[in-house]
Formats: sequence, structure tokens, C-alpha cells
Amino acid sequence: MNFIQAIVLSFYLVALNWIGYAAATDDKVYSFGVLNQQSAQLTAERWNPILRHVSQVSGIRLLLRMAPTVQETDAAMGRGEYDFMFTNHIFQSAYERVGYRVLARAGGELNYGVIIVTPESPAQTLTDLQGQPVAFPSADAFMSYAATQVGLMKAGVAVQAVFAGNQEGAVAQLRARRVVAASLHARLLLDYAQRENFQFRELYATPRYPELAVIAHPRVASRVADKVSAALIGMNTGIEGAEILARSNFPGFEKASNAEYVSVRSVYKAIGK
Amino acid sequence: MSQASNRWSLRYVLIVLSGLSVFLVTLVALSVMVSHETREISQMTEQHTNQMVDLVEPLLVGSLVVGDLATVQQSLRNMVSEGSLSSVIIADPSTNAPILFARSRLKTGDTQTVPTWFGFLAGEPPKPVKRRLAAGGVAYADLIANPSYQRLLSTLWNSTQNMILLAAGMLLTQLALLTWILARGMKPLSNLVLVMRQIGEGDLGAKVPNTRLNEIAQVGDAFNHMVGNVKELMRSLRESEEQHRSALTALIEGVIIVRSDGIIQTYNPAARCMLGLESGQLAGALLRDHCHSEVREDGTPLPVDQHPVWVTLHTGKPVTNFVMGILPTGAAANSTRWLAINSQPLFSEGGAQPHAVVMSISDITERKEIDDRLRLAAAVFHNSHERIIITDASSRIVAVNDAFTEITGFSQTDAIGKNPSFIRSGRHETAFYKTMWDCIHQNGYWRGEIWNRNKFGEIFPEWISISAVKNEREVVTHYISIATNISVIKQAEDRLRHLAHYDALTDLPNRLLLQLRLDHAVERARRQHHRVAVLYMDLDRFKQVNDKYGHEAGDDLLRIISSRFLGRLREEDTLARLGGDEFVVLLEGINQVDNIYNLVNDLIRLAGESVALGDGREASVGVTIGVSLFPDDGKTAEELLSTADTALYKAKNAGRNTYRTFRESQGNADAPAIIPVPMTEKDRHT
Repeated sequence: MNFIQAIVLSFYLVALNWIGYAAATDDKVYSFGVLNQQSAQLTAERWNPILRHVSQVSGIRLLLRMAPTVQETDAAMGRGEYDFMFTNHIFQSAYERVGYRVLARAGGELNYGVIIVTPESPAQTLTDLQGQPVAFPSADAFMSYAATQVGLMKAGVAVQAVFAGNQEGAVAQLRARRVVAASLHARLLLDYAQRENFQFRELYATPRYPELAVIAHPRVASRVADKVSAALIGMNTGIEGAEILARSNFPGFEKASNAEYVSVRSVYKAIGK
Repeated sequence: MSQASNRWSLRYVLIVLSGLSVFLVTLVALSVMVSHETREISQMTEQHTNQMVDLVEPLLVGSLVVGDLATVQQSLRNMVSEGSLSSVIIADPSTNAPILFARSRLKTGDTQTVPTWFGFLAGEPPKPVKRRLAAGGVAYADLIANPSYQRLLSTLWNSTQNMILLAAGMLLTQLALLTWILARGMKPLSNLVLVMRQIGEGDLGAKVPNTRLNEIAQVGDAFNHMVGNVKELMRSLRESEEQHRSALTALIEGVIIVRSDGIIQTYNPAARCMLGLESGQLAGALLRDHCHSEVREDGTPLPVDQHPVWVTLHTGKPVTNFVMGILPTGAAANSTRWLAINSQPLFSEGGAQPHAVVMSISDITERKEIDDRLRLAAAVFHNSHERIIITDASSRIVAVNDAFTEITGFSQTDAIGKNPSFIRSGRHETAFYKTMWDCIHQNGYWRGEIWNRNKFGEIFPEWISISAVKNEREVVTHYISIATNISVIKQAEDRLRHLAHYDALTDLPNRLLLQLRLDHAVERARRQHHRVAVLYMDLDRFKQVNDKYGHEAGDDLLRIISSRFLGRLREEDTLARLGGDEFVVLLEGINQVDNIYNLVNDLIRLAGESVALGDGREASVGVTIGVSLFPDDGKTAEELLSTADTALYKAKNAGRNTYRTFRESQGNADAPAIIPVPMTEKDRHT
């Protein structure tokens, strides 16, 4: 075998390999949007390992996509720019027309929002908060704003909403007595209270709602969406997937459907979103 | 050009060298400091850059994640605007292709112009900081932040300029101080030089004046102390030299020191005397110029290359006890002076070849003569045929010669340490030796005859001369005994004495001995009141035997008859032959006269017995005897012989082969033949 023959044979083998790989995988890259719950860097730190694992397991190449702000992310979602997404804003009325399909949801028990006061606070019921300043993490938060707002509205209580930026900021406002109460995500509050030995008294708790959902754009083929869904849900049981979830402090994924988010849609409707 | 013009001023040399050394030290220190500063500033810059990147990294990663490149660009601009970075680049992590870029735009006056050479001194620019912008294992871009080298150099140059100014100030100050110190310090040194010159010219009393500069003062004190020591040393040296000179002069041995070129460097009077030279002839002259006719110990000429000095100079080894003779030119051969020479090489420190030779000379002429004499004496001692014993003062043998061993059979080992009395024969009484020693002590010598005993128990006579050897204080130190074995002489004397007193034919006492014994017997008998009998005998018919058988047969007959007679006589009796056929018997201590008659009858019977003369010949003779008695027939020996002869004559006349007493011959036949003499009481007891 001379040199030329060796080169031709090498190209031939490489071409065969490429053709085989292309047949086995879907070469298209699917964008995977994530709601801006944390900074973009932390979000990338958390989601990039998950997406890399899902891509390897499902053979569907996923790429993290985010917009600088929640509003811009929601807008892009509304424009259908994300093939997949992890959010619950899709259940707002404005985005129903896009037609995303629920594939899975964040694992763990259904969660809820709470309104708390300091133990020595004179407020005993929601009505005691009438006209009082109450801290909220953000107007885009579901558990700690949308859900608790529904409760306040149902109680006929109007409060002065003070947006603290995030959960810790809302608690800090309460502890600084700049607000009389704070509206928080129940799980995050418990974590904080345990970590900081924070004493509080709960005035109100919302019903339980499912966490954010993994949704697929209608243009994504069912085969692809199912593969991604299976890979996400399979992370809970796979060794490598479980390790990635543990490192990311993520509760995992469970199978879900659009029907499970009816209550969420109703909350958004109740507050006009 | 004079030697002084080649010299450099210590002051200027010190200033220049000090300035140079301070400059070099400063330069090195400056280089080290700049290098250190560069390293430190580079590290600080790198650290600062890292901190800056740490600060912006989350923002950049976040912006990249959400695709907000405007924010990224703005962040880059903000980074370079701070001034410490020259440029910042965002590059594709896989291709390294720049995506975004921001460069610092320094305004004129922001940095100082830095000389090019300083750039070389400052070394390498700080390395860029490269950071991968990634999140969750996904690399979004690479951030490359390049620190501003120009700004770094400018900062360094500013601090270096300050350091240079400081160093220059220090250098100038040090030089000024050094110049001032040297100006003050040189004056005491000049004084020191002045004093050294004075001392060099011989003024050892000069002293370095005191100064307030401690180090110089210490040098001065040390110098003054050294000069004091040198003075003391020189005094000791002079004394030592004087002592050595005196010792050299007083030496009996001659001493000459010869340089390697053969020139005589020094010598002492003894050497001059031994070589027979006048004063002043030796020093500075060549040794060979004063060489006499030199001979070896055996008298053959001594070649120059075998002269001890020459040998030591060329071999570097000492020569000891070399004996040579010198004979001044024209002197008689017997005026040779014998010298014993030792030559010792002198080496310079570290030198392999001697630079001089010390030759010591001893005049051994007299000693050699004594040695020769001693050697001769020893040869005489050992080769002498006379037995020689040398004892110490206590008569203990210290030496014997070979003749002693030959004569006595005792070896030297047997004899050494013993008293010569160990060879005494016992033949001499103590008084003999006492007399001998008295004579030696009185006269210093003794000569005489002594019988000694050899190793085999045989005694022998010696003629001995014993001399006392005295030292210069007249104290006896040794005794020398020289002896000649005179056994042969004694035997000859005995032989002569025998021949004089004995008959040659029968070995019987002759008339002379008979006379002596008869005298003694008479004398003894007179004292002891004994009787002495003389039997005068004449053989009958001897002449016929002689005529018939010849003289030899007659002689045989005489010997046989004599032997028969001796066999009958007592040991103390004497049978003498007076000649021919005449015999005399001397009998002493006679108590019974009858015994005489019995004896006479026996003798007649014995004579009458036949005598075999050989060849079957036989002869028969008789004997006639005349008897005389003391004191009856004579008072002296002559009277007794005479009366006996008279009685013999009568007996012959009476018919031979018989006897007669003198009394009978006087015609008194009736008278008893022997008239008894009254015996003393003493006689009866003997």
C-alpha cells in the first residue's frame, strides 16, 4: 500500500464514521430557555451540566439560551424563540396562544407561598395588613407574589407592595422592620429560617402548586420532545444524572402535563396576567 | 625613569579604588533592586490583573450566557480605562479568534519617557492573564488581559531615578569622607615611614610618635614593640655570635666552613694550626689552594673528588670519621699529619643542594701512632709464643693470649675473670707466693720459676716475669704475667744433672753423688747418732769376662749384677758404681749389725750367680767386699771410703769372693767385726 492509497482509505473510514454518527443522532441544536430566577452565570452553572447530560442520553443537542431579563426572556418565549423552556410564565394568558406543551416539572412535593410576620408582630390575620407595607421578592414571582396576591385579594386586603429583588431581600426588609410582613416561597423560607435561625409567625399560606415546568414548542417533533422528557425524568434514577442533580441542588424532574397547571393559570388570571 | 616615579600615591589609589568599589557595589545594588522591583511590580500587576478579572468574570460570563455582547464590550472598556491594562481581548475558546477587543489609549503625559536601556535592565514584561469564561462546564469565551508594560516601566523608571540620585549622593559623601580620613591618616603613616628610614640607617632608638587614630596608633605601637624586639634580638644575636666565635676559637677541633663554590667562609685557629698556615691565609681563599699533598690512610694519594668536602658538596650527605694524611709540600715523608675529618652539609631553607659545608678536623697523628703501637702490642700479645696473662689490679684475669690456651689448654672464656691461681700446681707453698707478691709490690716486678698445672692436670715448669702496670698516678692498674714453658729446659737440666751424678752404664749414682749422699748420711748420722755402713765392692773375674765376651757383654753383666744388688737393697740405700767393676753400697739408719752381714752374704751370693749374656753365653763372677762403719771406722765420708777400700784390699788378699771389715783388716781378728755404739734413747724409738 502506497501513501496515496493510505490517505484515500483514511478519508473513506472517516466518511463512514461521520455517516453513521449522523444517522444515529439528530444533528439539530435545540434551544433550551430558562426563566431568570437566578443570575445568568448561576443559571448556566446549574443548567449546563443538566443539558449536557440530557443531550448525551437523548441524542438531542440542547443549548442553553437566556435573555438578560425576565421580561426579555418572556418576550422571546412569546415569540417562540425557545424550542424548550423551563418556566411557569407560559401559563400566563398572554402566552397561551404560543401552544407550548408541558413535558415535565421540577420534582418534589407541590409547593406554596406564605405571608409571615415577626413573632412579636401585632398582626394576627391578613386583614391586619390592610394598607401596611409588605415585602415581595419580585412582581414576576409566582409562589411569593402571584399566589399570595390572590389570597390577599380574596381577603379584601390591599397592601403597600415593596419589591425587595429576591427572597433574602424580602426577609431582610422584614427583619429591619421596614415592612410589617413578607411574602415568600415556603420552601425557600424554611431553608433560610433553618440556616439563619430566623423566628417568624405565618399569617397565611397559599394552596399548593406545581413547580416550574419543562415545556416544548409545538414545532418540536414529538419524538424529540419525548426523548428529552425521558432523559430529564431518567436523571432521578440514573447514577450520573442523580449526581448532576445533587451537585446542582436540583430536586429532579417528574412527568407532567398541561392539565396539572390549571391552578397556576387560574392564579395568573386572578391577578390579571 | 626612577623607581619613585613608578609608584602610585596610596591616597589616590585608595580613593579611586574605594570610589570604584562603592560605584560597583551601588551599581550591583541598583541592578538587584531594579530586578527585585521589577519582579515585585510584575507580581503585583499580575495579581491586580487577576483581581480585576475575578471581579468582572461573573458579569462577563452572565453577559455571554445571555448573549449580551454590548455589556461585555462595555466591561472590556471599563477594564482598560483603569490604566493598568494595555488591552483586553475576548476570544473564541475553540479557535482563539478575537471576538471583542479593547485597548488602552494612554494620553501624552500619562507615562514618562523611559530610556531604552532601562527596558533591558527591567527585563521581561509581565505575562498576560488568561482566564476561560465558563459556566457549568461550557466554555463561552477566553478572556486575555495584557498588563501595561509601558506603565510598569514608567513606574520603575521613576523609582530607579530616585535610587540613582540617592546612590550618587552616598557615593559623593563616602568619597569626601574617605578623602578627609586619608588626609588625616597619611600623616602618621609619613611619620612611620620617617622612623623606618631612621631605623634602616641604624638608629634603633627612633620611635613612632603617638597619634589619636587608633588603628595607626596600634600600628605604631606594634612597630615600636617590634623594633624593641629587634634590638633585643640583635643583642642576643651578637652575644650568640660572640659565644659561637669564642667556642669556635676554644675548640680543639679545627672547623672550616666552605661555601659551595669552594671558597673558605670562616675557620678557627685550631684549623689554621692543623693545616700549618699563617693567620689570614684562609678566609676568602679557595680550599683547594691550601690543599697539601693529601693521602689516604693507606698512604696512597687522595683524589680531589674523594675529598670529604667535595663529596658532601656534591652528594649533600655528611661524611664522618674520614682519615686522611696531609703532607706539606717539600716536607719529609715521615712528617705526615693525620687528620680525622667530619663534613656536614648546610642547606638553605627548602634547598636541595648544600650551600656550604662545615668541615671539622681532628689531629689524630698522636692517636694514630698510639693506635699503631697498640696494634703492634696486640699483635705481639697474640702472636707471642710466651704465655701472657693480664689481670686487673685485683688480680682478676682480663686477657690471655693464644699461647696461654696453647700451653695450658684453658680457653680465654675459661680464664677471663678468674684469678691466675686457678692454674696453680700446688707444688709451691703459700710462703712462696707471699714472697713473690711482696717482691712485686716492692719492686714492681718478679721473675722466677713456677710450677703450674694445665687443664689436663699435668704440671709443668714456667719461667715467669710478673710486672705491675701503673697509671700516671703510680697506681697499679694491671699485672702482666709473661711466662715461658721451661719443661724442656728443665728436662735437659735434669738430664745433665743425672749425667753428672749417675753412671751412664748402670744408671747408678756415680762417685760424685755417692760422695754427696755419704756426706749427708754422715752428717745426719752424726746428728741422729745412727750408724752408717759403707760396703766397697769389687767384682772378681770381671776382666776375664770382658776379655772373653767383649766389653758389651761386660757392660751387660755389670747392668745385670747392679740390678740384682738393687733388688736386694732397701729403697733408702744407695748403690753407686765408682767405675769399672767397683761398686759402693751406702747403708743408713743401721740398728742391727747382723743385718749388714746378712746383706753382705746375700750380695756375694747374688754376684756369684750365673749371668746370661745372650746367645747362650753365660758368665759367672764373684764379689769382694770391704766394710767400714761410721763412726767406728771413720768420721767423714772420705775416711769411711778409705777404710772400706782398705778392708776390700784385705779381703781380696784373703782370697776374693768374701768380705772383710776394716777392723778385721787392721789385724784384730778376734775383735768383733762391728763394735756396737751406744744407742741414745731417741735411737731406740726411731
